[in-house]
Amino acid sequence: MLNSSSSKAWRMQKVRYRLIGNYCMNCKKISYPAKSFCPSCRKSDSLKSHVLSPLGKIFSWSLLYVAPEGFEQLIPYPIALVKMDDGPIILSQITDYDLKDLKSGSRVEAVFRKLVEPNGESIIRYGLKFRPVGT
Amino acid sequence: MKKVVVLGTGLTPFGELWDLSLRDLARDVSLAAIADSNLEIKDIDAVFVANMLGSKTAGQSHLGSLVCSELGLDADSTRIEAACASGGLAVLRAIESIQSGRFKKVLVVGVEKMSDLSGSEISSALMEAADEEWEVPYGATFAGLYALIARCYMEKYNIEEKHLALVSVKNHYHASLNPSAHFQQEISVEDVLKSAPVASPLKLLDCSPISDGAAAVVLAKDSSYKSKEDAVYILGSGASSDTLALSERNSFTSLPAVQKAALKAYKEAGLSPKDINLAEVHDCFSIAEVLAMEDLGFYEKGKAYLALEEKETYLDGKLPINTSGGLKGCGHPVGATGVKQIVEIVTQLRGLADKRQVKKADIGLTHNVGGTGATSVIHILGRK
Repeated sequence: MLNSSSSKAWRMQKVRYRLIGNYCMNCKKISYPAKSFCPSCRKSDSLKSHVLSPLGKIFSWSLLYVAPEGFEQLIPYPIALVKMDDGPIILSQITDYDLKDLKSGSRVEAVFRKLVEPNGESIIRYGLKFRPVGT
Repeated sequence: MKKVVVLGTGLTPFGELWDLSLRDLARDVSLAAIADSNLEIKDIDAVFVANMLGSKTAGQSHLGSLVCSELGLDADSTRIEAACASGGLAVLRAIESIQSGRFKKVLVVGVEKMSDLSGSEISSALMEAADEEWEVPYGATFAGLYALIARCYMEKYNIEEKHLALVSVKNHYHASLNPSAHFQQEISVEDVLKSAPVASPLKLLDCSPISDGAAAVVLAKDSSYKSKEDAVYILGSGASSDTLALSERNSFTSLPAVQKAALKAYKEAGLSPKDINLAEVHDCFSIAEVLAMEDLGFYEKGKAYLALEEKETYLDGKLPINTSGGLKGCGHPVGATGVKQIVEIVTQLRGLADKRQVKKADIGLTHNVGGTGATSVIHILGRK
């Protein structure tokens, strides 16, 4: 169920609007989203904040024809696992695309977009989607 | 480890049961399991209730007390929630409660009432089993997440949609022999390929349905079983977790939690994959059964499709899988599914599966998965 609490939207703002992850000085890996430990080596005292490059490529994708509440007007819309150039994999929607862009290996970049506009007066959710580049 | 025996089972029909409520289903199935166990209600000293969506679909939480109150019982009662793996996990917690010596006779009820909500309401409610911060806001659905896994798998091992379709065709055939199944009709590969797109490459007939239903078992210490003739024992179990969000996994062509849970269960049972005669696996989407066939150690990675083509997993094949019809054919009331898998294996091991009876049914396995593999529970059952 979509949570449209405004305090939650505020709390999530930094990590959701920007690609803020961690660099682990122990295992040299970049992780996203930022957690209090490194998901690779489990150390917690070796992390420093790292802003990811917005570039990556589609790793897997699906065109959705059945949507949950709030997304019906987008049908059909593509979701994808994007392998970032910095290493982490991120799930989001592909936007501003042609059907020919929907394939594994397509280059994409993160862009700021409206994610969902709930009914009524609750808060609009923003975040990152991916759009094809260099095609 | 003390052996735990299945004293009896209960099962409601699965499907769109407009005349029955959450509490009707839970009560009816409990009474059926207690009667099948030759017990009286007052003999039960603990109840575990597996359910995911009661608070959304029926506005009802506190289901341990609900079941006790419907049965006029004052037993110790607990609700277990682990999305679609609630049932398998409730059985595991019940086994442990008996092994610990705290309880002697334990009722496990898996129940879900889904058809009272609209399609998009139930789809949103089910998404609570996904990652609310990193999957839900992007419009992901479970069909979409499993579709991402399916595409990775298909590209890596070079298989096609028609291979995935074979899972649904087999499971509908098995369901057509199971009077309790949601679907009673057979389907063809062409029907699957022509069905409406849901999340490419998955289509409507690659997806398990929204069902109502309940399943129950009564478990006890070995020594409390009087007539040993058709006794079915829990030989080994295992559970494991993984990241809630699919994107944080190391593998997209297998479910590591399943592999880890299966290793624990095989070890506890002192058995290996080749000892298993039949299995009920968590085919929430067709690709999920393909992954299960490999993650459970039955087939090599990337080779399950060959067994599907050869019909090896039909009920008269080398390794029958989902003789109940699975989630696709029998239906998928999410909290009930893991318990129903146990009920089907017990029915087969007792030789009571009628038209879908497997000839050699001495050892069976159940494979229950929550989310996209964030929780997995495996049980191995046998007759000695």
